[in-house]
Formats: sequence, structure tokens, C-alpha cells
Amino acid sequence: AGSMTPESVPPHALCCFSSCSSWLPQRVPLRGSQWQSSLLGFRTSLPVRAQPKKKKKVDVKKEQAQKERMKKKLKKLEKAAPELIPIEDFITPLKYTESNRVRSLPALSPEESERRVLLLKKWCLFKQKQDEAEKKAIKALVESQQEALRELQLESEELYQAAILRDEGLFPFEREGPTYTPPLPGYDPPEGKCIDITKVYTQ
Amino acid sequence: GALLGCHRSYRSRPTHGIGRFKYLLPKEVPKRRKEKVQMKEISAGTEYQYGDINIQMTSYDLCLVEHFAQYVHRLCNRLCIRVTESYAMPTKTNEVLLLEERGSKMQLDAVFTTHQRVVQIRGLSSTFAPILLEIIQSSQPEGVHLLMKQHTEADFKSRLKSRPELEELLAEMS
Repeated sequence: AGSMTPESVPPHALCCFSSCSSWLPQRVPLRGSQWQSSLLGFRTSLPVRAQPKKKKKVDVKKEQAQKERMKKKLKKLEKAAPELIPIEDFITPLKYTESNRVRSLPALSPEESERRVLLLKKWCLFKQKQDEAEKKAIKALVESQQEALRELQLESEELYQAAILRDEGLFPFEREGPTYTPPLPGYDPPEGKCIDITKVYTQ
Repeated sequence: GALLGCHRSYRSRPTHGIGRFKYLLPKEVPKRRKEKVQMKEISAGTEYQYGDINIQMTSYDLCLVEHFAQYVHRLCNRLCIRVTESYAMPTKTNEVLLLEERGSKMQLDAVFTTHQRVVQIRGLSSTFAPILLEIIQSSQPEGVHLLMKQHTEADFKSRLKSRPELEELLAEMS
């Protein structure tokens, strides 16, 4: 366009000519020279007028409105108190309450009922002895501990004070319950996997 | 007008208070509002006393763990140890898939549930703690896993329902 002497061809015109042959949308905008001020390519630039300022205000207002909406939503959610997960153990399944089946038990003979009552009495006595033994054991432990502490105090006050302090290494304390049989030596467990299918409750 | 709303009571007259009847009705019990689930303060304990301790009992057998929890609770009551809370943790369900002997298909073998009960105690003295541990251990039934640890906020939070919307919003805000 216009008369251009070969020496004074502006560099950005050269860029234009080079890209004219393949006028495909360029991913990387050509920033040939300092004359090309905007990234939008040759001969295009942001209109520098009052129009975009209005757009910015509207954007800001929209953003503020959005933020306020989010804050309100957050307040509403936070107001709702957190709920405990319902325990499935304490909810009886519906199938046990719907049916009207009633169990009919045979009548007990007097010998049988006598035997049962005597068995119950023996069990009560056994449990009583067990409970008394436990109470005795606790009492004996506490007494021996108190005696030991008294002797320690007489021995040295420092050690007594150190013994009275709580043991930080005691908790956490973990112990597996006893098993009927010890683990089998050389047991080869079958292959498989264990999946957790606990129901996840969300509020 | 304005005169319609006024209640004229002639206190000198014998008919004063003739329309009263509310005093004759039975006292209304105020409606109990749903108690908000709030975390109780976790006490740290002193040098000679432990703070909040959780006795967690886990097992596959529901009745066994329930009865053991009741036993521990009653034992603490008898020994004058303050029991702040005694609750059940949510039940966990597990599915076991075993690999078939001949084939690559996984076959469902069993579905079992794990139950957990927690008894929370406070103010256990340092001298009595080992004795209590000994007693509980001696009466521990088979298959019941015992765990005693200090109570933390995370333990309380694990009992509550998860709130994914709230967490999402909080993540967006920050």
C-alpha cells in the first residue's frame, strides 16, 4: 500500500507479508516490533474509548454480587448445626417390625422349670463370687500400691514426687483380645480383597 | 378507633378480673428445642491426673462389644471415675471378595460389620491408671480390640456427617 522504497519498508509490514501466504489463525501472536503495541495482531488494537470502562464497572459489580451471594450461602450452611452420623446398630431393620409372626413356645414341665431355676441360682452365685474376687483384687492392688508409695516417701521425697506424676507413655494403649486358638503356623490365606462399603452420610 | 383495644379493669369493683382464666389452665412445659451437637471442652488434665481419655472397644461381634462397654462403664461408676460420655461409633461394613481357585473371577464370600463403642473418662489419677488398665485387660473378652487414647477434636469430628458443600464453598472463598 502506498509507495514504499525498499530501504524504508517498516518491519511490521514485512511480518504482514510473511504471514499473508498462510493466513491461518496464529496461536502465538506475532510481536514483531515495538510499533506493534497490542497482542491482537496487525492493525487491530483495543478501542481506547470510554466504552470498556463501563464494562469493567459492570464486571466488578457482578463479581461483588457473586461474592455476597456466596457469603450468604456460606452463612446459611454454617448456621445449620452439624449432625451426628446415625448408628446402624440402633436402628431395627423394617423387615423385623412389619411381619406379625408370633413364636409359640411349648409349655415347660415342672421338672424343666425347676432345673432352670436352680441353674439360674447357680449362675448368680458364680457371678457373685467372680465379682467379689474382682473387688478383692482391686482392693489388694490399691493397698499394695499405697503401701509402696508410703515406703517410697519415707525413703526419699524426690522419688515419691516423680512416682506420683502421670506417665505420658501409658497412652495410647492398644491390646488385642485373647483368641480361642493360637495362630496356625504356615497358614496360607486365600487371595482376595476387602472392600469397605460403609454408607457415607453427607449433610 | 383507639378505644377498641383498651381493657378497662375497675380494680375497686367486685367484678375485677372476672375474665381471668389462664391461671386455671395446666402449666405449659416449654417445648424442648433440639440440642445442638457441640463439642465439649477437652480437658488436658493436671500433672497428677489424666485429661479426657477414650476407651475404644472394637469387634465384629455386636453383643460382645456392647456388653463389654456396659461392663467398663459400670466398673468406672463403681470406682468413682467420672464418665463424661459413652457412645457408639458408626458401624463399618466390609465386603470380602475371594479369588476363585480356578479362574480369575472374584467371588463374594462374606459381608461383615465392625462395631465400636467408646467410653470417655475424665480425671483418672496417675496412680490408679495402671490398676484400671490391669482390671480391664483381665476381663477383656476374645475378639474385642481395646484401645485407650487421649480424646482429640479429630475424634469428635469423625462422628459428624461430612459437609462437602460447605467445604467446597470454603475452598472457593479462600
